[in-house]
Amino acid sequence: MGEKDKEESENSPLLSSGSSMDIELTGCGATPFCNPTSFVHRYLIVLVLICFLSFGSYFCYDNPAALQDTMIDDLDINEGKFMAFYSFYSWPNVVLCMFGGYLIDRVFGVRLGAIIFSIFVTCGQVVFAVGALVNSYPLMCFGRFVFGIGGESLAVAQNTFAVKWFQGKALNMGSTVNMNVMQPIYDYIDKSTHGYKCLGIALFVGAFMCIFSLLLGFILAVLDKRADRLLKRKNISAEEMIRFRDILTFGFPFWLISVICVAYYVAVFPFIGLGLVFFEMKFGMSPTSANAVNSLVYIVSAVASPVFGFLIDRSGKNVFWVLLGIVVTLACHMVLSFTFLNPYIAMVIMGLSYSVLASALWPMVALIIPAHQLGTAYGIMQAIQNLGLAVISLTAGIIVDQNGYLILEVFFMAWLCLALIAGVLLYLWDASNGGKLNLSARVRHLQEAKLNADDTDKAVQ
Amino acid sequence: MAETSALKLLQACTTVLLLLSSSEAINRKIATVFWPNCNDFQNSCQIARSLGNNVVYTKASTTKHDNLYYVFSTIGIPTIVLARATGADSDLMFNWDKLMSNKLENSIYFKKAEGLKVDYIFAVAFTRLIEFNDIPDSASLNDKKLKPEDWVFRNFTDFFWDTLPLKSNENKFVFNTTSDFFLPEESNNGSLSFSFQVCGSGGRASELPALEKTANLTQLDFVLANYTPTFSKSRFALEAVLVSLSNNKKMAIDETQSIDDEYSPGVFRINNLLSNPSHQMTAGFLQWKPVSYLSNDRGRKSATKVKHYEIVDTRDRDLAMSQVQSSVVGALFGDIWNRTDVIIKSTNISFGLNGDGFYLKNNYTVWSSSVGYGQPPEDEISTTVIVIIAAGLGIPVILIIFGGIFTVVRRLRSRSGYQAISSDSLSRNNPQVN
Repeated sequence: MGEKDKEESENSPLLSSGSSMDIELTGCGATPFCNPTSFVHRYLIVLVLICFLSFGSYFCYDNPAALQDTMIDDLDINEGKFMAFYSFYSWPNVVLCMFGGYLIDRVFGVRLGAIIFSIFVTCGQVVFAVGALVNSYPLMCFGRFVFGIGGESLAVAQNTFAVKWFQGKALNMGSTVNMNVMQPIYDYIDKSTHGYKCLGIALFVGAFMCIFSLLLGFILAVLDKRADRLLKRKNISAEEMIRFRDILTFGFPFWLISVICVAYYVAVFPFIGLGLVFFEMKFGMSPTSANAVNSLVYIVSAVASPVFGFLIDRSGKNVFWVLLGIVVTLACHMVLSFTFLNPYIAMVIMGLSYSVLASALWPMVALIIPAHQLGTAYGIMQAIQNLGLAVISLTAGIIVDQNGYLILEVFFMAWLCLALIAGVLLYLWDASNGGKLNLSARVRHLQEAKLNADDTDKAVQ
Repeated sequence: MAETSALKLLQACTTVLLLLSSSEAINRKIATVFWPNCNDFQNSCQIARSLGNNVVYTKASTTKHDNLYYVFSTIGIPTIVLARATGADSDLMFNWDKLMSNKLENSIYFKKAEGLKVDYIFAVAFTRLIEFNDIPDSASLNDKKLKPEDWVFRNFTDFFWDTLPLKSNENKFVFNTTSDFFLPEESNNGSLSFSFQVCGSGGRASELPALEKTANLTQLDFVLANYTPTFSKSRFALEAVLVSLSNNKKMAIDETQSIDDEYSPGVFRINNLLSNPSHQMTAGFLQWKPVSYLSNDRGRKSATKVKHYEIVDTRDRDLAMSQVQSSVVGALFGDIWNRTDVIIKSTNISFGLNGDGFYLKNNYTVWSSSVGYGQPPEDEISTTVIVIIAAGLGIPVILIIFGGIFTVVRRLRSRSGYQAISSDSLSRNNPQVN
């Protein structure tokens, strides 16, 4: 990864400073509100738009879980058929995440891609809701399948947007905010939709959210295009076109990061999925407080992620923070499984360590993968993560049923240990290859300055 | 982290070693007789059979004449009496004429044997089935919102029990009742049963919550199936009376927490009702996990809670006392009203949890417990778990330690080499940066 041309695209922000603007802005364009280089425009408008781009799909993804009892009663289906709603979403995604990333990078571009995938999401949800209205189980499954085609690919598009607008300093913050902020918002709205008696109508509320997100996708596309025009942001040129099998060239550290990603996330999210009963049974909590404890990881990380994103961005040393996140999460799991100490503390700390890990892990990909392959890289990571979550969620359910929560916790700890091993290997690899990933931010900026100087030299030549 | 897990491992290993060294697992030979001595009292026994007044006698013996004698009966109420006698081999004798009379005293007695000493007698009897209309859905008998009309009490003395077959050597048997406890117009296939499994060695029950077996206990399942409840929000509870031949004033229900739920997924507690908490030898127990199941297949999904209540003195409650006196408890303990060396306490055990859909959800409830002599078994973390923890946590820790040492050593060895490169690159970079 030492070649100059690659480093150039990795380290020079697409939006570096206002000086790259050639056109004189007038009217609204000159105000911070509309100026694509201003803080207000980027953070208050674009970041919010990016976050809400996947709001509809996040909202609808867990519609079945939120309406589980109603669905099983109203549709007269069993638990297995109910869980198929999730399978139909997950399995196509294992392939489509990669494909989606490729489509975004190479075929549609991020703007058109986001809109197309949003349309898939919306149509899928509408079909799902219509299926519920006419009480047709196969139609509902088909709806979830179409929904699934769009869902995760949309997340890739969202990520690509975040990278495009916030690469460089703000990347940590941007990407982690959009990864973490949606769940609490969804949880909040979910509470008020609980009361719906009519399943079909409740699902149409979800479809409305999808349409809302689709509209935001259009607005985002307009703003993005405008920013491209005003800032003359680099378009990915035809010469840089990679073949799909070039993912094989992503290299050892990328795969280590992917291993960390899947091994860590499967030890956190399936645990939260099964956490409610665990807190009720082990700590004797009421369902309400168990729910509160269970959602702590989401809430804490929604608050802490921007902060950690910012701080880790300032400090660098990403590999160190990743290792710390894994070790602390492992400690939290140990406290939860081997002691009867109040789970509030362990869950808050787990939320913090999750934020630290997410803030440090995802940006590392941008440090080792050229910008024009980032969509594909994130897509692959998310595909692996999806596959892991799909398989491990099923496995975790079986383990709980057969062997109880202690064994389940031991199982999660084993995954965290695997993540830890991958983290240590990543550290060792990095240390013997120049320590690029674990640089402090100061040194990293120094290098960037050097590269910029190189750029200028080249430009002069 | 390495330290914590190493410490855990060390602790776990020590526990295992201690367990292996300290536990002398007793095994007992189990012999069960239905309708004991029935041939000697043909008439009375025939009457007992026609009334469903079952008696099952089990002897759990060791070669050292340290024997447990069980009597299971539905005379009056469902009852288990458990006696420990040492010093000589003996047998319980049953006088059916007396058993069928109003005065049960001495109707069951030990066959004379030289050196026989009865160390302890302990009994668990179930006096009432309580049904309550849990409108607040609190699953608690103590809920202040429950009104007088929300309660239905059924005395087990009013139940008619199915007659057991005359001959069987099974150590597993069921007291079942299918009628009489609900109105005829509501009749369906409802049944209520107590099933027993006398254990002669260690192990685990095959069904959840997989209570531990020892040679000193009998496992008991209470099942209430297909019964049409009086109310749509009905929940049920059992009133249990414990009778102990001991001089202590109090009994206690303790609740032990365990981090290990591998035998009964999702259940981290175990309850022990101890007849004599401060003594080991003159003590009996009723052990259960606070879980019951709303379905026959006893999965995690059908699991619901079991709640226990304050222990009260049964001597204050005439009805319960007379129910107990007229059961086989009276046969072995004699006049429990006036004996000062007998302690009689009762408690309620209710089934259900807020939001579980009430009894009506599946019209089914099953609850497992163990009745035994001495100290109740304690859950220990199994070797399987210890091995998994050791492998899951130990291997990465070892890898990390060795990896760390390897890196440090490599760095120390090649330090000079690295310095040369980095100083070179610095000198190359500096002019450009400046």
